[in-house]
Amino acid sequence: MIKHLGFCLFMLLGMSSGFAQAFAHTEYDWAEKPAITKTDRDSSEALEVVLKEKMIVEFYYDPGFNNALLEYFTWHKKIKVNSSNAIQRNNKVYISMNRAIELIDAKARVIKPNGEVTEFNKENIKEVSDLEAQGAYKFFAIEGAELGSEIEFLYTTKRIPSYSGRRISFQKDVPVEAAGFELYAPKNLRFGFKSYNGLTEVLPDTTDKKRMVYKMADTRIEAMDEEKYAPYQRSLMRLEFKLDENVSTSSNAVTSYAKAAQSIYQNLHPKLSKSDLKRVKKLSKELKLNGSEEEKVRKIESYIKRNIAVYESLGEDYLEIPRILDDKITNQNGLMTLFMAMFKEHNIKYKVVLTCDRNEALFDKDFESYANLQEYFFYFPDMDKFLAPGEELFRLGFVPAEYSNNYGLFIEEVSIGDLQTGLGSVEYIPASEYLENQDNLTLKMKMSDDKTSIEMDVTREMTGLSASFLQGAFKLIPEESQREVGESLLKASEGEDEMLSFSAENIDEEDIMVNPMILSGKVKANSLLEKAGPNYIFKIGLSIGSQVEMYQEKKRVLPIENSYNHMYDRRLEFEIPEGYTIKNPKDLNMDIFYEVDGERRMTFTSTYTLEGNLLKVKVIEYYRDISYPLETHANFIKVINAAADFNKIVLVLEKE
Amino acid sequence: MRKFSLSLIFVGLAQFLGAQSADLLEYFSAKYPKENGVILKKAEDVQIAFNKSGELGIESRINEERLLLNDNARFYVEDNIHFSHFTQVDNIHAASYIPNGKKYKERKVEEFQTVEEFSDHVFFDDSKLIKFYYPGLVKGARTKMQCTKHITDPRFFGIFYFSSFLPVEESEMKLSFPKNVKVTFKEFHTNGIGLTLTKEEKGKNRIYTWKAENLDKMRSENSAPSISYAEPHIILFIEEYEVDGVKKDVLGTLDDLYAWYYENVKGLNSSPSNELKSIVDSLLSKKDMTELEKVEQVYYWVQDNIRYIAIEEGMQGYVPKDASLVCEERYGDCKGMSSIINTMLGIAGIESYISWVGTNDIPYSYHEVPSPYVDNHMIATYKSGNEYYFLDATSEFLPMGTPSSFIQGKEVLLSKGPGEYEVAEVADVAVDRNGGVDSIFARIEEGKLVARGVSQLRGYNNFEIQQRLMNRSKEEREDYLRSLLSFGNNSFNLTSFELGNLGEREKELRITYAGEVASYVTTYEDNMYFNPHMERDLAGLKIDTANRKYDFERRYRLQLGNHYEIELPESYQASYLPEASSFKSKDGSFGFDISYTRFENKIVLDSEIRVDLRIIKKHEFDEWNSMISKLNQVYNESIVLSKEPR
Repeated sequence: MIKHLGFCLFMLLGMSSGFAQAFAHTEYDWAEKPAITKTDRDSSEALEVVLKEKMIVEFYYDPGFNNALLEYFTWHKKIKVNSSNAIQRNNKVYISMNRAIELIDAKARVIKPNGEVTEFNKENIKEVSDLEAQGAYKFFAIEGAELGSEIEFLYTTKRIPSYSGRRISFQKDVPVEAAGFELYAPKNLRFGFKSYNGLTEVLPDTTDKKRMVYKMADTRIEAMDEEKYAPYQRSLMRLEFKLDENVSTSSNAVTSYAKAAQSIYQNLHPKLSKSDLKRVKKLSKELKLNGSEEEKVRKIESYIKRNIAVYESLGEDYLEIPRILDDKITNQNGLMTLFMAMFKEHNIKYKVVLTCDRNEALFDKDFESYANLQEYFFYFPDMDKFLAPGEELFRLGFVPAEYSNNYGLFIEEVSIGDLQTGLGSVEYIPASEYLENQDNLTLKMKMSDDKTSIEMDVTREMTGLSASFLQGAFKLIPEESQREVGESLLKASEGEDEMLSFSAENIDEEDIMVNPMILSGKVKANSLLEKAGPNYIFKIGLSIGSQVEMYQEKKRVLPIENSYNHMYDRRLEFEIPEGYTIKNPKDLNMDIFYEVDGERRMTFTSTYTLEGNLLKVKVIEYYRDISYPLETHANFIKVINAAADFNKIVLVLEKE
Repeated sequence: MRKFSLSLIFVGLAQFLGAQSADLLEYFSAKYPKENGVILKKAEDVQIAFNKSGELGIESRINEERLLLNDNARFYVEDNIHFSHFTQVDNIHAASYIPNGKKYKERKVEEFQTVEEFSDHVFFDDSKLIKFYYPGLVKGARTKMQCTKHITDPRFFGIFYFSSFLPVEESEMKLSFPKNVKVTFKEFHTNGIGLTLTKEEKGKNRIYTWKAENLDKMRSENSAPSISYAEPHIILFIEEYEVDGVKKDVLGTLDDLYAWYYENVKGLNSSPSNELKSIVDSLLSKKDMTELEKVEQVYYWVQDNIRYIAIEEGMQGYVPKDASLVCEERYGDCKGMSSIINTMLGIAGIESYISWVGTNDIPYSYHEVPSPYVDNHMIATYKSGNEYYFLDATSEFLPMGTPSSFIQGKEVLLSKGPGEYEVAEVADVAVDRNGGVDSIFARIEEGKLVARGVSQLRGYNNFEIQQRLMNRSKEEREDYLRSLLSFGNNSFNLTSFELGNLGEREKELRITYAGEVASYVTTYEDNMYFNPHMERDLAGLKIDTANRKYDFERRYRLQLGNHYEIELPESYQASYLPEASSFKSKDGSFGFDISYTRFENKIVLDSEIRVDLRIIKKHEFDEWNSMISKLNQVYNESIVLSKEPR
């Protein structure tokens, strides 16, 4: 998440009323005498039910902090636990103290099935200053839970406010009986809300004269299960909110993409010092930057990604270019600064792009929340290419799939007189084409002399995203791990086959995401040949490796979503041994596809030819679209299952 | 010749910054062409001394120097120093040495950050690490890290591993201690690494120095026993020392260790709460219960009602919580569970023992290593006659009489009172008590296999699968069973199932089900081909002998039986049936038997696989692999059915 977006904290200084304020969290409490909740879901089949989940956010001006805007955040949750897993999932509470100034109160209790209540002992709260580099935490285990108990906790922290775009998901893999939300703010602040995926709307409540109040009425929410190839996380009911207006300073659109563009621009473009510029020039010389824009960008990218390690915990002084280049470490902003200083030095036109992971949410063009601005990229308009600066394994032309097929905020440098600033526009980040992401297999196969296995010469060629986690990483991993990668990608059956030789090509820096990564080797495939009396069964369908199946699917709830467009081109050759004939080659013909307007959008097609004793099979499979609506999901499943059906094709080699 | 002289020079030179950077890189790149780096020196210099007030102090100066051999240098930028409650760290110096012409340029690390990092499966502990980043690393750069660890309690001293995650050029452990301190040591897996020990005396001190060179790196291999089973290391003990003529025992014998452990448990559970008493009363209210039944009731109650949450803080990591508190909180770690079982049985007037045990990750026996390195777990032990029951409530579904799988073959230290203990051994659970029998009754229908099946699970297989099923909703259960029962090929379709004995720890789970497998039978002209081995147990378990460093560990001994009956389609008969096959290892510890028979209109396949060992030793790999090969050959034999001539 981008840190510097809290920039307007001090713009929001306000007037404190001077009187002791009543706060929502002090007025809110759990039931003094709790009773076991009755719900119609309360059976052993609902192993876990969230009976209540309420969040209260209150912004206020704190006289103790120079009247700065602060926030009380209250979370109240009550869960019915009907299985031992449910207990284990819910008997620990972690309170992030990262932005927190103070833990105001925390309480927890267990209501046992017999109505007995175990209160939690505050002394059991543990505290750590930096848990696994995720910052400070307070946390505790909840005592006394049994099967059928209700676990309840309620806590409030006082913290640095966050109002530029917050995302709260209320739906989960277990049902929620009552989800509620309230937001309180000083009279001069106006908030915007958006409910996604059918969640109840948040509405203003005008009965309170002293504060702005917004509420989401208690809502019952069904559980949603995960599904294969589905946009699960982003389909959950969720709420987003942000500060829209400060009427006392008459600044509207406080949180907007235009404002974000300006402030991000300022943040990422510190004025470079003479020594910064000197090192930029020196590095340029060392890298021998000449040739086309693409060649230059590639060299800059290679150098930075291979030499500079990024650690988010590093401080401000890692924004200076000499320091970055000498120490070879920096933080995210330092990384951006270095990239941009190099681009500017060489007059490379770029835009800074910000977007979010489309598994979590689609970038919302209309609700201008900073929750959508999570990850940095560069876009080069003259090349029409993207670059992912923080992704070590990616190179120019590709961004991780989850940050494509989505909109983003593109920030362009503009000059107004002598002043440079950032101008934002919302544009689309396309998914890469299926032809860019290929995973191709060539198999030359024959029966071993002792007729116990199939000998295969295997070549696997991968491009683009299909190679993204392999090609850039391959030379970084130890030799024994490289071999393991080979074993898992070249064998038909990882356990049963033997890899006799193995080699990898196009794994050098200059090949990454430019040339196909090629793995090849010889495999003794014990898993592909069966003896059947005088004849043999050749399990040719398994030679392409085991395929995903979706045979026994429940009623589908979510649409289909692929992570990226891709294709497989597989060429199999089999030398039919002398004295044998293949009885059923026609079984190899398959053609399962889905067309839109007469054009194939996905397909699994297998055809064969026989040339003398050489059987040649061509198997083409591709998926050209990221998403398919729920109505057409069956077509996707049909094609996916076609590959799994191919796995079952066997050829009978009959002795003549 | 040049190589020889260089190696002599460099081992010496490695300690000096004066070594020519390019030469060093050239020499070690040639020696380790496939490694990212080499640890030039891994050293610990331990000083045991008395302070002014006559207390024993232990200071360990740690020194590690690496040389980075290729462009992956940036992966060695981050380094950590681990410590916990019983150690303090200071005097940290870390620096990079960046090649600069023929020499190196020193770059000091300036920022050190302390962060908490909890161990796996632990809710809270006091282990911390100091994190820092070496600046400027490139190919040919060196790093150096030095720090001093102060061990606050001599009982937590000391262990030293000679090897590391990169090859180690030179490894040295130096120990200096006053003559009135008695130190002993034990070496593990140091044969064949050329370890030398020199002993000298200097004034009032003795100095021991262990040295080894050219150590192969540690690997991360699947199914390997923990590194302490194979990597060279020494464990040191301070047995006793003398202050002002008074002898003080630390840890030299199991008596010493036990005396200390006993301190941690002796005051435990002196006055159990009323809640605990009333729970015991209600659990044991049935008339005519045998003592064994009572123990079972209490044990199962703890398994069902006390959740596992581990909090390890300082001595809390060694002292169990009071049973009444565990009961009230309804959670505890292994120590708390041991404590509550022991107390509840005590309330019922039944004797049991708080016990310590090391899990399988720890190779030592109590007499061999009488120090906290020997164990990491606590249980309660109940003894009936000569029979031991090891009660470990951290495993939720374990029946009485079965130890947790991860303490099989280990020693257990039973606390029987002040100065009184017993070391008992946990036998491996016998081979025929683990595994199960699968029976499938199938017929062939248009290329499809239509089957009924019964799967009966035994031992660890049984508990683990029951536990998974118990915690699932109906839908999740169905998904899980579909993958568990799946046989034939990827189109197994589970049409119905019934679970017998679910939730009864003591009984074998019996899954009765029906399913279909499409496209399983290939029909061509008058012949049908199908493979009767619908499950291929162990098929993928060949061990890579060429590249493996460690033994191969399995979780338990196991026996699997299959009984398949396949009804032939009308007017077909089996024209080809494979021959029976079997394998038995020389010592009989693993093998299989598979046979095929014709019976009425059926083909019957019976198979039994036995793996009566838990660790396959390296010298057994070849024999093991020949079994797997033979098994795969059998699995690759199909049956041919031919239409009978009319």
